[in-house]
Amino acid sequence: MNNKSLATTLLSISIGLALAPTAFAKHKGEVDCKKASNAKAAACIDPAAIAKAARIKAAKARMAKMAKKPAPAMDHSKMKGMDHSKMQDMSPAAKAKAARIKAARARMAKMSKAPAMDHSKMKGMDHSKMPGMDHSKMKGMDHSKMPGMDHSKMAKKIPVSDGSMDVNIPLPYPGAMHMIDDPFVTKVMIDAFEVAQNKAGDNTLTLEADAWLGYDLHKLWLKTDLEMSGGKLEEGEIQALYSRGISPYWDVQAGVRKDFKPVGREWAVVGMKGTAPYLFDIDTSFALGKNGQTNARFNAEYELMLTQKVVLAPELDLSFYGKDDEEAGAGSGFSQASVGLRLGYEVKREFTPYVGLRWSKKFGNTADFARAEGEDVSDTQLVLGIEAWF
Amino acid sequence: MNKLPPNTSGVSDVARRQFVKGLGMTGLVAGMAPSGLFAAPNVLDAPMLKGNTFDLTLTETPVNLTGQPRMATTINGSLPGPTLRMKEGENITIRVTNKMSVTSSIHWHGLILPSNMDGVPGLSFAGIKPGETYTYQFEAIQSGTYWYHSHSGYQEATGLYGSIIIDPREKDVVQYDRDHIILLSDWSDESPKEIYAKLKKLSHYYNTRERVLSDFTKEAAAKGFEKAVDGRKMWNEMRMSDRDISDVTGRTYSFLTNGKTPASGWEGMFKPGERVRLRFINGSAMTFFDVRIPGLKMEVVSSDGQDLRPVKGIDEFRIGVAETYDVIVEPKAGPYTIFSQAIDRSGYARGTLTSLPNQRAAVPAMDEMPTLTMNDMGMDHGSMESMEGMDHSNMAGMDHSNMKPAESGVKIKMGPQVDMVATNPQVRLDDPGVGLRNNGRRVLTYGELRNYYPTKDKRSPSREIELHMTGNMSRYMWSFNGVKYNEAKPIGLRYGERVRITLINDTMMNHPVHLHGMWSELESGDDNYLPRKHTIVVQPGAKISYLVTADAKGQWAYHCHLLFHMKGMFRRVIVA
Repeated sequence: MNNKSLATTLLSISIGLALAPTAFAKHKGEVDCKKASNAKAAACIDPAAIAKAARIKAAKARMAKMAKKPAPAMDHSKMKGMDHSKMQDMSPAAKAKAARIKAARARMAKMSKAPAMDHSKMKGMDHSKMPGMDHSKMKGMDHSKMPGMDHSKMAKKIPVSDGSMDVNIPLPYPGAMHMIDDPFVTKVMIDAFEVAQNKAGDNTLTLEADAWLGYDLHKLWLKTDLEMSGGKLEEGEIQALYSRGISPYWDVQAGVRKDFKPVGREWAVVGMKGTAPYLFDIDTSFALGKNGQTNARFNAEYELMLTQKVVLAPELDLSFYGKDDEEAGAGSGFSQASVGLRLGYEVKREFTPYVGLRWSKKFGNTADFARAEGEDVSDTQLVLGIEAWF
Repeated sequence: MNKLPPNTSGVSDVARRQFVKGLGMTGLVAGMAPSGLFAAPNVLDAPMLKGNTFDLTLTETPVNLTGQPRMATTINGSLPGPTLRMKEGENITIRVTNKMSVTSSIHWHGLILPSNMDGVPGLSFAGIKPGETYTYQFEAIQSGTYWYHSHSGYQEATGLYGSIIIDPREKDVVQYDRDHIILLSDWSDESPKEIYAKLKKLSHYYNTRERVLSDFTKEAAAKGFEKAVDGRKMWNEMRMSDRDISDVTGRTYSFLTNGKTPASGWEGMFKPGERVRLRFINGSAMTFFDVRIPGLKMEVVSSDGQDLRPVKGIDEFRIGVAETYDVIVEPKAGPYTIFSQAIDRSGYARGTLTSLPNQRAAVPAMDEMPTLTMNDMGMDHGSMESMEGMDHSNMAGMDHSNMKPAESGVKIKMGPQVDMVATNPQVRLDDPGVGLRNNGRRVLTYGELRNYYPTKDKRSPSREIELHMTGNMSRYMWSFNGVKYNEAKPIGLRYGERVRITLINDTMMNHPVHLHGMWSELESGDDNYLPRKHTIVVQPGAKISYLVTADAKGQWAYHCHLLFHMKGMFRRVIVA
């Protein structure tokens, strides 16, 4: 492998695979979201805010105390919507209590107006809008509903667990319970079955189809790509990959790929498939061939729903090779890019006919090999196809 | 009220064509039955069986609810099964004969009985094999409105369910002149297995109202481009949809009132001046309903079979899967539509309450499809919009300690099976829920439920069990604390102890959680009058707690009652 191709290979690996792990990072962010938001909060809270938090805590404690010692004479269940200020026939204890509540309320209302924190930095924690603390809306202090404040828990700490038993007691009637949450499922997807006309005037027929079979987190994926022109198979490959769910939105896929047109080539493949933030569907892979040849691919798709039925779907495909393989028409480096745009009509979920435009271009040595063969280096096609799954 | 032909409604024709299936007659049809055995019965209503001894026969039966002939599973040949009316204090015998080709079971939902009578295969018994009869025997120690259903496979979704009324031994605390069962359910011409597979392949398959470009342009026009972008940002970063309300919708479901599609329509009679008790039961597989009867105020008198301090002047209530609510109405002469729209507004169930036969009232238009807020995601630290119409319950939002990861020490197993954890779940007892806030109607909330009787067990809980309802919508996997049933240890309760169960919903949908064998006493506000429920709805991004006295020895099921969540979101509870 010469330096140039090594560099390209590294570049392509990093582009291809680096996009997926952003998802890892994201996921990790989700795992630690509580921790993270907490740390973030801790980092940006200023002393005034800490003092404020302490005041809130104290007020809460006072209120908890109040709730813990209800005046015995009062039937709280009937107090809904009661305005304490108008309570005429109150016992002195109840009056005192009402006064305490009023005071607490005033204190808390004051707090909610204290502009001490720099909220601008607290993403996702915008206290400035905390109506949960807006006590000005505390119409009538509805005691009946105060457990929303969770006084019971504040008042007394009790041990918390997930309740799991240490010993496993067998099922009384083993074999009678069928809790199959993860059944064996198969899905066949025709991503594209389309016709087009190339510059030479030949009709081309393209089939991109995948299938998976298996379980939630363990699947066998089969992928195939075929292109026929003038009744002859021009390009053809098939892949068989084990797919393992490793994060909420990502699977790692590993297996083999066999090209049988234009020339026979075998590859070991590892890749990532999943959904990136902003709902981009990503499929990226790195393949290692027998003679040290490498091939990295990146595919991204997006579905923009124009209506519940009409879908506009842009797609990007990139390919890189580590070495020249003239027979296969593959030149080292960035070899090919293709951009597509489809407009589909979802007749039903499983069936979407579409029209589209596909522009593709070969680069570098790959382009040279194509020129030498008398082929076009770039092409723009109007395509007509269907997308289907079952 | 106008007299209208049954199909004249406020819903646009398009919407009706799309969602309101049920052009054919309800009930059982001939055609498919090889022997013509079911040729005659076009069962209009589930029959009512009264007494203390019942015989139920489970069969596979051809039905036609939508114009498409399908096989259903039925009880005594009807869908829903017969209503069983019994009396509190009596010893009940129910012989269930399985004439289907697969093993079955019947669970008496909400009845307090010995664990071997609870009807859960694996825990209570081995199930009822084809050709076998299982005899259930128990004492009816409670009164109220309940229901029963199969606890095997997906049979519950294909018709194995029915109502139970237990009349109190003493005089009923609820005064009424007449009662009707209103059993709401969902029916699909697709088999439940197909539906489940589709959800695994494309989790938003049944979502009929996904976000489209014009939603964004409208928002941009209303709020400005930047705000519209901001509004989308978090959802898009999370790869989630704020339109994700129900997993399975009117795209495949017809919503039934007492087994009738909206087109065919169930009818219940009354005489003007009567106090009519409507016993609502949600026997759906997957559908929450928002119920109202335009023109009538409702007085809510019971939930999950248990008498409540009456809540008067209610326009609308949400009923989760497996919950029951009894309401009193006092209609003047005329017809009234019992309008039960699915929570995602993809369709509705319709019935008519009328003083004269064959009269129909107008059917209101469905509300707009609700959109989830950050509040519903348990990630809101205060945005005005989501808080409107709510009051003190939100004060939990004040509790900054909620943001600490493991204050409780309870761990969530993270991984591909969990797509989200609510960072700031709130107790939202006074929140009527997504789609019902500020709708101009008086909507019942959990915060208003108070037991008619004082709390029996006044002990405070000695410990707390915290369970997060977790899942990955796009992979369609469901679990508690990130661990699905098949990989989980059972939950252990000491006989006689009083525990608090706190549920935190880390997903985007409402989950109805059902504990078998023991009451779930919802901490709805007044510790002296805790309402006893068998099924508790946990709103998205919310937390809720209830107390349980472990007074029933044995092994019990504890699970989300959404049929396609249940197999993962399930725990075995052992009381010893």
